Amino acid sequence: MDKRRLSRICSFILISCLIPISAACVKNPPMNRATGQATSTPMDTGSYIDEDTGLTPMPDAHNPITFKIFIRDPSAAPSKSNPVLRKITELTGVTIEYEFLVGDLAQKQGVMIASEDYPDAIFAEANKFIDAGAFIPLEDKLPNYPNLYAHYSPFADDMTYIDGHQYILEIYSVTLNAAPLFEPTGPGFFIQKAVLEDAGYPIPRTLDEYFQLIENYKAKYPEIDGIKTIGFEILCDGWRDFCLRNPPQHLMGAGNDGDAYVDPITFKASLYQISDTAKDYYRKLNEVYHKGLIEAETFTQNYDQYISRLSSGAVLGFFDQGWNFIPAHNVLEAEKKYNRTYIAVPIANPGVKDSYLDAPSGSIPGNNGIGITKKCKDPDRLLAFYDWLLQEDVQNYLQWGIEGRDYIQLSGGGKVFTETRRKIQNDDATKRDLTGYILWNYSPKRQGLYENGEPCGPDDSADEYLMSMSDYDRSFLKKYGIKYPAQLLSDPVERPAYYPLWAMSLGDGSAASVAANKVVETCRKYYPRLILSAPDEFDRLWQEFVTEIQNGNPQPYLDEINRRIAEIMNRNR
Amino acid sequence: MIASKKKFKLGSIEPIVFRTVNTIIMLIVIVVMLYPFWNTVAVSLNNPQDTLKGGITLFPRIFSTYNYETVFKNRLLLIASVNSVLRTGISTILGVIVAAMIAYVLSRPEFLWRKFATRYFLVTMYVSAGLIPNYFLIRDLGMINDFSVYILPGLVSVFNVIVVRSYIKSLPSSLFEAAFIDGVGHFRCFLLIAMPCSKPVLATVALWCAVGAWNSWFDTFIYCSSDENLTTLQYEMMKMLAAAMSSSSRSGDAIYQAGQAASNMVTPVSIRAAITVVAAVPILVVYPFLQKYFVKGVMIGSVKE
Amino acid sequence: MTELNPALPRATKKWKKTLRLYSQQKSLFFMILPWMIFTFIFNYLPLTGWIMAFQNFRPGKGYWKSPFVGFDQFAFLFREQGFWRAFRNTLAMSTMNLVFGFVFAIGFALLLNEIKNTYFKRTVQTISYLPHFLSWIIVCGLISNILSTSDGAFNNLLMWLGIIDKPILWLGEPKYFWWIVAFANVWKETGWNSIIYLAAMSSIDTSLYEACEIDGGNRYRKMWHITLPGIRPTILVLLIMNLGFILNAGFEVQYLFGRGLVMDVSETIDIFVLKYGITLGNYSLATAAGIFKSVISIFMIVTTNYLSGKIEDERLF
Repeated sequence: MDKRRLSRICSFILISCLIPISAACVKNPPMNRATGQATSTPMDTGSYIDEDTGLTPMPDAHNPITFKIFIRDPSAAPSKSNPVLRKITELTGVTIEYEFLVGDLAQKQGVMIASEDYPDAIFAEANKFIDAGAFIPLEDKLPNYPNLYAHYSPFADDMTYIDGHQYILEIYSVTLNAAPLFEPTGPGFFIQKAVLEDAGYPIPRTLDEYFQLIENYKAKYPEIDGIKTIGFEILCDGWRDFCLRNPPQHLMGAGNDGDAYVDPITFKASLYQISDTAKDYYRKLNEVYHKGLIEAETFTQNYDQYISRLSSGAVLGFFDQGWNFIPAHNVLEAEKKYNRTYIAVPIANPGVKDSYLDAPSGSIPGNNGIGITKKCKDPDRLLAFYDWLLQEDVQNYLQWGIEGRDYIQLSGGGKVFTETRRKIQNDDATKRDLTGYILWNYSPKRQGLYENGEPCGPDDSADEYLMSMSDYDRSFLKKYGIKYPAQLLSDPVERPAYYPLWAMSLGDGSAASVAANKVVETCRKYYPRLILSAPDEFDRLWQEFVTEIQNGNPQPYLDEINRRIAEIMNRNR
Repeated sequence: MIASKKKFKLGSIEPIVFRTVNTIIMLIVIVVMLYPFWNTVAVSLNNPQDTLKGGITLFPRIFSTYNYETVFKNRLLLIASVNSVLRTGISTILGVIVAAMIAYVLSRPEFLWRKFATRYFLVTMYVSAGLIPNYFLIRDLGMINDFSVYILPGLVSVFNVIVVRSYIKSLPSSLFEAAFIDGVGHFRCFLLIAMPCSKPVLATVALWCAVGAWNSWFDTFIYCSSDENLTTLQYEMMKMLAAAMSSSSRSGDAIYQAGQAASNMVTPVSIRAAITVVAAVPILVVYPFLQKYFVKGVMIGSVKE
Repeated sequence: MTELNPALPRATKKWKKTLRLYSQQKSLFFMILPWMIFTFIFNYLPLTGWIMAFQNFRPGKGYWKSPFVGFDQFAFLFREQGFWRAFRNTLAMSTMNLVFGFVFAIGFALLLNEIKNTYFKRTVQTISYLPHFLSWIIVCGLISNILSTSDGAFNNLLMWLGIIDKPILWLGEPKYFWWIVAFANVWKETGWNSIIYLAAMSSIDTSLYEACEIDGGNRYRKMWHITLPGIRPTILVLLIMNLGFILNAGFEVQYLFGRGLVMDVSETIDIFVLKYGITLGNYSLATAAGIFKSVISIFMIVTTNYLSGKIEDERLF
């Protein structure tokens, strides 16, 4: 009796734990669950034109298909009710399901590659997937798709991987006619506009001039809005510590290349981290630290605290990349403290031309885009979809929307948003859920200017840019005789084909990647100490730092990038 | 301990002194331990743009429910909550039963494999294969994109087993002996004596299981991220946080996102605060039901019988 | 069948006896064997992946095609100065966490146990574990605000008390780092960790307290002679198990606070593995480090278990 009950209960528990296993074993892996809504209206191919958008549907629009795409960025997928995406699905039959990154990219990629459980397409660290044989070569397919072919053929060399195949549909900056750069979103020495205004609108060009301006202003205004003025901030939080480590390469006249300086003539890489420029730079920071322009706390604070400092308006200058402090900029603008916002100035070594801006039309990295996996259910359909998207009127629809409702066509050929649409555009959530932004951003796309000079999208439109500029900024820039903030810097520089180093894959766990890691770590450790050290200690500490860099043996890293640079430069000759 | 020497001098005032000092200590504990959560609530109710300026301590500076609206606008929230509740409920119930069952067997001194089995289980606590081998296993068992992956891999928690075992061992052995003499079998002994007598520790283990299951998102990320129907609350929260972070830093690419940067309203700090509160509330609501078992204790009555 | 073999009567007898023993305990086996199989599948099977530690594993190639490199990964670890520094830091920080964690959790549980008012007791207890639900990033953010040199509460307090005359950059000084981590852990986890002790205390027979009272024992005597011995098995078991985790000092706090200024003392093994293993896609290195940690863990619990058996007559296994 007891035993029977016991065995019954026990087997119940056993079964309850085994059922899901066996069920799971039997169950097929989830297959192609096409969720594209079947459009009820039967469509004739070719002649039919959509009334709302004026777009021509794809021939197999009646045949729904869903593609899953993994995106390496942390972001959110657009809402299912997004009107633009629904319209696109209606016209093409294609639904794109996005999986954005949530946790750690390296882990996710490792698991995907190891298990070969790939979605239909992937936008991530392409080289890893190519090396694992995850992507299908596209060079034979592309000529079948006129728009894609026209779009990519000028960049065929950049796109060709070392094995001779083309795998990646690059999604950024694939353009021959770049729009002018309005604002430096990349690296720069930023300074508060009020400082320049107070000094009579000079353009500082050297570190000495830059810090002199800051010093003068701080002496004159020890407090800003009741908060103690801070001369110079250096963000050192985790991977964002490029604010600490990168300036020397820019002072030497290089772009945002990576962890080495590449000579523009011989194309030989060296470590700018231990160059004389670096030594002088950190000595200068040491000097201004002892003058009280830098707070020691800058070396311990986190990103949030950094943003809160910047948005207080009491920080006079810092080195950063434009996109990194956008939140602080937004706060200052929202509070109408326009004179407390920042502008990048052309700081470089004396006699060296600054080179902060990349000329957009140069070349593409070749691995910064979408790869179609060998698990893709219908690569041709996906390519045809991308081909369809590249049509000018589809691009217009995705970026600008519908004329009259979303944008106004200007007489001169430009476009500007309507007020309502601009509001949608300025809030990330509505932009994602109400416009075609996500689809546009993560697909092959047109950027820059069309042949007739019209901007491809709002980001390329001078009219749109000037529409949203404050009066203060307008008159501020007028004092310098320029239209856009970026014009304070030297003209964008066309980069050699290998550029940038940071996009180069050094190979998983290779000696080169370990060596590169060590260089970064050593800099991370020593730079703050150098800045905080007593001035007469500086030289000794610098020597210690250089010794430690050399003890870490950076040679494998330099050798590897030299090899890769030579390879690329030879190929592109 | 100093006070014990004073006992003779202070005499009857000692309890009052102790109680006062103890109460003061507890009040300090309340203040110190409440602050971080209180602060998080304040941040979550503050205007997100304003929060960027820092300096929120006890109360919101500019009151706003925007952060919560953003969280609750998520279209997957309902299904995510259902999944989270289900996985938490099932994992907790099964986890407690399994831990108790194994613990009971391991606590029986006469069990032939006692030493071997204890070591066998114990070792698993300190060895781990790592992400990729585990993924292979889960895939080979067909558990990718399957609800069972939320329950089975973590079902046997050796830590919990050992804790329960040591509790059962501390029960008076006369309890069981009497039962065996009456001819009660092991299974009934487990169900009718060991389980009820271990309520405090089982409540603790239940709490650990529940909080662990409720807070986990990594398994969704690795095993179930491509099936929206299997999403969990914490995973959705992580997604929202990631989205908030991405809009405040578009990093890496050689993008020419000139023009005005989207002045996104959502900020990571605010979203993080809001999701922390949203995720913690259900646990706080359920907690008192478990708490009564270990704050009061239920054991004594059954021992005396 | 056995009777046909007269050569082994004794063995047969023994065999029979064993069989009888097993059949007596079949319900016990029935309760535990399924879970042993279960554990085998979920915990032991994947250990075949340890083969990676002896390879130069590439996810794209799998176990079979990745080249074998013998003990190269271990050699890299053991030759790397940074690894031993991380080892030292991990040991130091987890020892501090262990000591403070136990002392505070047990002390708090003891004091809480003395509170007579149930509502107050439950309120304090509920509030005390709240920080457990905050992520490290929130807690660390708060701590760095509190420790800030510009108007941080802690510096202000110390200056007001006249202990220091100018703010100290707490997070920038290597000598304070381990203490800050230990304090952060205490803040976040004391309440949570004390729950198990409260549960253990609730099982102590009240008649023991009554007896002690009759003998004229005061509060402290009761704590010392009844409550503490009552939860001693729990303390010991947790202590031994946690000593096995001695190389898991975590990495989040250290990562969040680990700036260049304190890097020499902040890096733990987990951070090292993250930097040189996972981030660089070197799973072999991560696995090798995992095996190293397992070996140390098992050595630790075997030793402490032995010592505990000798000194306290309380063994884990």
